[in-house]
Amino acid sequence: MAQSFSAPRKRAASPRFRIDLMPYLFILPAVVIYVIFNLGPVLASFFLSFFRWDLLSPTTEFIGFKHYNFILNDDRFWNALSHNFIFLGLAVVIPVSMGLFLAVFIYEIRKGRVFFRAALFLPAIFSGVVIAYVWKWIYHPFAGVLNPTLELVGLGAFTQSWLGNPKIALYSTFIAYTWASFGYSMVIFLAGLQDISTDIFDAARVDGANFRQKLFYITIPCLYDVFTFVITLRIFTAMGVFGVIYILTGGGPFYASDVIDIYVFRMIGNYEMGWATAAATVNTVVVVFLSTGFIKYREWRSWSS
Amino acid sequence: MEFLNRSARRRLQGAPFYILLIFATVITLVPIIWVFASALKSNKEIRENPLALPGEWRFQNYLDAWFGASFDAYFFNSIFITVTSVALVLILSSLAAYSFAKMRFRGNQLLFFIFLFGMAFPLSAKLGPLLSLMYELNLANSRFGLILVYVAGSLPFAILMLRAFFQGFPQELEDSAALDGCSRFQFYLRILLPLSKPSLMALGIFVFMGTWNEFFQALLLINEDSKRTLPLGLTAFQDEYFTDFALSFAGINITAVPVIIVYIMFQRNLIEGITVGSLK
Amino acid sequence: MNKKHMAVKWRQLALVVTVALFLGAFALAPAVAQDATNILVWSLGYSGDYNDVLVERFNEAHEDVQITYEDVLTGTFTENNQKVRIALENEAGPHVLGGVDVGANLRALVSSGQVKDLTEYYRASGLIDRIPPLLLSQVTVEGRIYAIPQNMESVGIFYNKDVFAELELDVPTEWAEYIDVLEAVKDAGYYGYTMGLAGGWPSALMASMFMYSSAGTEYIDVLSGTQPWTDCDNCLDGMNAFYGMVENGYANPEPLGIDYDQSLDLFYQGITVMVLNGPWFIDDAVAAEPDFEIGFFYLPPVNPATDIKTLGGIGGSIIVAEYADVDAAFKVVEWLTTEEVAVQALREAFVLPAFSIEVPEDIDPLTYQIASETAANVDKIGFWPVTYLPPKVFGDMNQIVQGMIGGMLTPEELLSEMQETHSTYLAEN
Repeated sequence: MAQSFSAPRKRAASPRFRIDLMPYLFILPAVVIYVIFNLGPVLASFFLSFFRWDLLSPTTEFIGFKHYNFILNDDRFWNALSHNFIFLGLAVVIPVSMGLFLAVFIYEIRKGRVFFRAALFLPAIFSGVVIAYVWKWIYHPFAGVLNPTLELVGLGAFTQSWLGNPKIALYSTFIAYTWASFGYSMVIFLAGLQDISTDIFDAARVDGANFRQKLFYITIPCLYDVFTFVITLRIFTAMGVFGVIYILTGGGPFYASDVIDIYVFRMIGNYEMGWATAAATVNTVVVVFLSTGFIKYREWRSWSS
Repeated sequence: MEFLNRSARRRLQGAPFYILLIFATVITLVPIIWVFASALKSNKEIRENPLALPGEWRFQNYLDAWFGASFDAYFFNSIFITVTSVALVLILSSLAAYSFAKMRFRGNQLLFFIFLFGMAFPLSAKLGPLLSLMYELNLANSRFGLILVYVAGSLPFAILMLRAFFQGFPQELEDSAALDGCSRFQFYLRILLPLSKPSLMALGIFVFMGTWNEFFQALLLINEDSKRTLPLGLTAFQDEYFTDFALSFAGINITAVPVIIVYIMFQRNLIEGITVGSLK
Repeated sequence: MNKKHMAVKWRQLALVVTVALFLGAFALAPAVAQDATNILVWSLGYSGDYNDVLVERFNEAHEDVQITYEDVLTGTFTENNQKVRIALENEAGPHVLGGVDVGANLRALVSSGQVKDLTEYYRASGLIDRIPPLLLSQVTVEGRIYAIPQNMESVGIFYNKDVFAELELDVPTEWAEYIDVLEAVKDAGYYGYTMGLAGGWPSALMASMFMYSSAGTEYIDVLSGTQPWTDCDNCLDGMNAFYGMVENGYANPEPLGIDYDQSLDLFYQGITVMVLNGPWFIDDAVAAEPDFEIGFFYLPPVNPATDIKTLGGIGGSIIVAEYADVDAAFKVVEWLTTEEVAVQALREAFVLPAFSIEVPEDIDPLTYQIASETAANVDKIGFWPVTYLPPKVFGDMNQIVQGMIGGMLTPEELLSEMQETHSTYLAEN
């Protein structure tokens, strides 16, 4: 006991011990840029949400929770947030399951794996702006391609004002989002599948398991951690969706496709920094709560079972 | 005979998957092909028959967009901003990740957690103060300011990914290098970086895509037309020339083609970057 | 480790630090100081190419003052406003800013001390005598003049002359005649009214025109909450008239599915016959090369009692930033408001000046018609309320008008929603 206690002290007293600066110097440039241009503004946003501050007036005045009081009583805030949740609900089901099935299909085939993976991932490489404009043209009521295609294949009854109909607009933007995001889930699932030992699948084949049984009893349980990651990724993208909606509908018609980031952007455009930072902070809390809560839940479930 | 039968059976088993995959691929690629085809049509053709292929191939549309709508300037801005950002991210994140992965020091865990925290919040959380800060520092409406914002935004993921990769390096490698009189910086420069080339490549491509495509922060920070990046230029272009359908399509393609080229060249690296970063 | 090794290590460390410091210094280097007589201009109030022409001409004609021009304001109305105000506050903006929709912004800019008081310069230059009093009142805050009205936006109906001739229609001057024209056009298989309301700006603007032509200044009182909307029957008439364009099938289908620029394409194709627009549209219409001739008439007032002939107002004003060298800056302003430059702008960029000039006859006939009619009716302008509206309400206004067109709000509900939105903002500030 005494020995183990005294040993480090002895070392501390020895001339060889000094604070090693190298590790800090290696990190320093990254920390400086990260803190100034990323973390700092986030923390500032949190603190400034308690002040009257409109980006233009030099003075700031502490006003406590007044901005939060406004935001939380603003129907349009809840409207926007609910649309994020609709987006999230759809996003964890549709692009994720599309990604899963396509990954499984690619895994099952022998030839052309690389081709299908590359082709199906292609939309995911584009900027939100490009995706939005491609879909803006697809949805175009007069020169667009979707309505004529529907008529061509005998689904003329489904032709639609895709972005102008308030009941449809949010879902139209979701389709564009899905087109651009299922590829991510797919490649991650595929990498996960390739990590699963082939022995398990061989054993299943010997036992005569069919496709459905393999999927539900082997693939999905084996991809437990991959699912956690893929869904967490969807939480971030669905709660922070901006570019696609900004260009396709601008949040309209009549707030029918409004989401938090558009709401915040509109507030910044109106110099309402107090409301903008308060709304952004609420959204941050929601996202952090959702993502860490989800990860912790998954860890707890995998640990308890 | 037996062999043939088995292979035929196997081929038949795979057939539904192929059919489904081909179907999915067609649906995925048709919008892209359609946009490319439309960029070669005249306005009249696009209006009157949006589904048809171009009658005559009008490459003039691309020239008009490139020279007439300053897409040349947007393109070079995007190249400059993206390449500089990628280089800075690779340098800064590999230095930091080496330190996090291989060195012991007080606050290692805490500092790393601070970086991780950067991945947890949505973009809108920093916009207001960031805008104000950039004006204070005289960095608003500047390409260099935008680069710093992009680098700061990419660092958390880059450090996370490289740290995981560097942790996989055997300690013996560093120990024997130290025995040979190699300092830690030399080890980083001469051994660690060359050995990490595939990872750095994957990360670089991933950051390239993210930076090339970024829109929200550029929209907020860049005012001047001559400093716009391609995605931002595309929005301005649409405001001005929306009724010129063919030019719009050409503009979309000019923005998309560089990423497609990079994607075709480095497809494996990019997907590796996404999956390695995610599965570790 | 021996001493030699340490030395090597420190040298490398110094290298890392130097690189880091270099990067840091590069990042924080202040912008190069501007020459005092160099006037930074963000917009001269004209479209892209014409600005360059003007700058070149000015710089050739002047030695003591030179313009540096930055093409900054190419975003939407809201984005531009935001950029201007932030830049002015941070003294990172222009010295002279032309063509801005100052409106309600002007009051905010004045109260935060960001723009120069130009009253004395204005008097000394004689400009004051050339600007119609109605326009002047728009840039005056508490008796002081802070901006120079630069161009007029006179809004009316552009129409397809060929279709009018084919159907033997006359230009309407009263609301009832206008409805008759719309009916006749509809019976002939065309759409009378061009409407594209997706996107940021057109909804509030289009609806405002109808409200204003029906209710006049009463509409402003309703908007600002000083009069309950239930007392303003004229407002309701205006909104019903606007909604009638959709309800009665005069407007093209899917007004919420296309934005304004997309809707213009319908006009150029000859699918729609009339389009409510301002003089900036001429430039676009000429470039689109439609195979028919375009004519112009003012939107007949929904309520004739308001005596409003033209809808529109100041399209842009020139302001001088507080931190600018005002003597040098005013030289730019004075030059921009000379008759010579104004006539050139009318001829080359189809921009109507906001001060009196003699309209030359050898210009584009459509431009001539608008310019001379606007000059004749300059005392009967109905200012569209964009210039009154605080920008913070503008974004919401668009969404609310979309709500009515999409059938989610009745015109009554729209008025109530608009007033409520506005008063919420006012109460919170």
